Amino acid sequence: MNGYHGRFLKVDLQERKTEDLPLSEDDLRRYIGGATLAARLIYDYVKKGMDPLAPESPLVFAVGPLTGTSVPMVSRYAVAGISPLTGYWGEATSGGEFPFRLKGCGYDGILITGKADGPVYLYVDGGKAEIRDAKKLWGKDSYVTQELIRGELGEKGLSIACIGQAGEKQISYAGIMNDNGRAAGRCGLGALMGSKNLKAVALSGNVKTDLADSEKLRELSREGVATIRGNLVSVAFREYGTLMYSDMGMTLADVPVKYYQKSVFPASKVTGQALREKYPVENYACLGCPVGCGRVVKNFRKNLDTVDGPEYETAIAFGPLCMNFDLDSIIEANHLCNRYGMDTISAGVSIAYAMYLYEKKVLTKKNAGMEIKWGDAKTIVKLVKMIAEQKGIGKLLSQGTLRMAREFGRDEGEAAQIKGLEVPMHEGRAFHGLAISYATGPRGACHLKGDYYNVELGTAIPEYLILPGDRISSEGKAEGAAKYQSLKDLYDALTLCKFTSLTVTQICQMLSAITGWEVTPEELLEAGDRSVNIKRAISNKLGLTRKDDRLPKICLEVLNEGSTAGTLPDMDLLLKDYYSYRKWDWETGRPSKERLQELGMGQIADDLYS
Amino acid sequence: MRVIVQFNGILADWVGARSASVELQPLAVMANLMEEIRRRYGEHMRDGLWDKEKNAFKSQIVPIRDGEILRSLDIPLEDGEEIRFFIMAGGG
Repeated sequence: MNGYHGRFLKVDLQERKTEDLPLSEDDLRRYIGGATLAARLIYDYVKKGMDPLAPESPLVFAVGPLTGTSVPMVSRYAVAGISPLTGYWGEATSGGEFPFRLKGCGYDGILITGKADGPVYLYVDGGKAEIRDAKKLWGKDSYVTQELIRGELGEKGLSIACIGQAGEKQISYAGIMNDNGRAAGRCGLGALMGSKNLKAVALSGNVKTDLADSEKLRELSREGVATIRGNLVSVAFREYGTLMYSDMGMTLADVPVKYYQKSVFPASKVTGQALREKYPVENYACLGCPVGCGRVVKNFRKNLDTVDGPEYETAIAFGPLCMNFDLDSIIEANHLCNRYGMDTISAGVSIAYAMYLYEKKVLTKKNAGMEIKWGDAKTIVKLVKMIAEQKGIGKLLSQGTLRMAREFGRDEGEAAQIKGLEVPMHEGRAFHGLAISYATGPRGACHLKGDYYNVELGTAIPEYLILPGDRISSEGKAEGAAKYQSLKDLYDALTLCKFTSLTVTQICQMLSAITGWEVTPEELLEAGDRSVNIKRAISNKLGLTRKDDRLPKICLEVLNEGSTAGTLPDMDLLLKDYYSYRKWDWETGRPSKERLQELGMGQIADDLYS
Repeated sequence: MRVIVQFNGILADWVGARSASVELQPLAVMANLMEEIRRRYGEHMRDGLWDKEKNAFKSQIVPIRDGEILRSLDIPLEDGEEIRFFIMAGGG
């Protein structure tokens, strides 16, 4: 089989058993790999009312057919399961070296079920799997954990994904860290790992898959690298990282400020340039990436000379969203989240909501045990620690905004989340195509699937006639947004970095050269549609309906400042058009049986409608 | 008429200016502003920024006026307004 090993490693932690799970070429062509293939495997385990943290709840690490090849920007992996934060489909992705090692182990992914009777970690070396004791790792942060495992197994060719203390404590937005400070942060999959007593997954190996046309692939990869290197955006990312967007974002009212109530802030204080001016900053890149958007800050403070990041989402979440413009505290909060292993978006949004509640006198010095004022940099850092350590008010904040709102009997529309996942640092009010992507995203509020702001800024996808338009118009926007969402969902199947500037045609050519399939842009889009639908079907089984496809009220208040003042997306129109494109049932929110059958998902249709 | 242009972030280094006041003929459009930018900065600008065919910045450089993305070169300009240029990088 070209491009694939054709098998997953199946691990039952309860039985301490590992075995091969063979994959058919038919399933691989339809579900490609990464998060999408994970969804197909997970679907069969999902039962109505399933507890995400139950031992039988599956956890999947997976890569796609591009990973491990010469194609640039493909060292990405997906981790997937039922989200402990939302109770629905959950997925997160990360880069680094781990994805190459996962493919190098001789597997396309790892499917883990069961709960070990004590802390363990999984070690896979070139196809040989071993469940090892992790008692001495339990209680350690993510950096120390990786260091200790390297000490045990040796440095060379080893890559590790692990949880910190947040995952051990099953904090609902605990993430998974790999290759030092890389994070698969969203959806709380670190808690799922913690619930299985699985501290880490350590991988080594360099097993390659066969390629259908290696010469052609080399040529396409060379062209791909040239495309990426010649792209100005890639060059700019290398220089200033993702945080360079904050200035432009504010101009477009795309940066949420003061818990989504404002859009204007002193942008020059929180930019990639400001970071570079204040600290020596070094870049790092995922394996095989010519961009290198990763940042390492040097000379940070005494006893902490080098820290990772922060990137855009994190800097805004702990920064302007909390009315904080102090870079030191943003870097510190990011570092703590990395150490404990927590999603910076959900943590930042939860802290901003606490500040909002404090201003409304719902939270007080008495019931919170502390002051939680807007812009208080020390409080932000203190709250991150309290969340991770489950102390005081931190325990409530660790449950996310929806549970916070419920705890205080507040209107749930105040909680900045969609389907339970906190809203990222882009504004649906600034890009109506993003608003519908947020409302319908497979994992909840997701800025990556699709990042429609990039379309409106000028990234056309001519193969699918997705073209820039009026960013604050809802008319005729949903179809392009749905197609773009399908395409971006497929990036996590392939597994391809979203910052790549490869065209759809280039991606098809590369996938064809790897697999030997003649993949067309139409087939690729259909696979993307299939991807969105299989994830949707999982969430439907877990109780999701159309009522969950909405933006929270706090993100739909009219702003009275900035470039979107006085405007709002027409969510009813967007949602109707979106459902129409997807052929989803308006009453139930499920993909129609007819659409599932069109997509070759007859078995899923039969199950969902049984 | 006169418009103010600003080159934000790394673009300022690449163009060789952070901001400029540009004198244009009455009824000038974006194409006229681009021509003036090319005349002033073209020679020393970083390679790869300019689309010679369009005689304008490449599409990855986004001009914004009051939150409006100015895609067309036919867009009329107003006296006294500010046009900000950014690299099209959509955050994380």
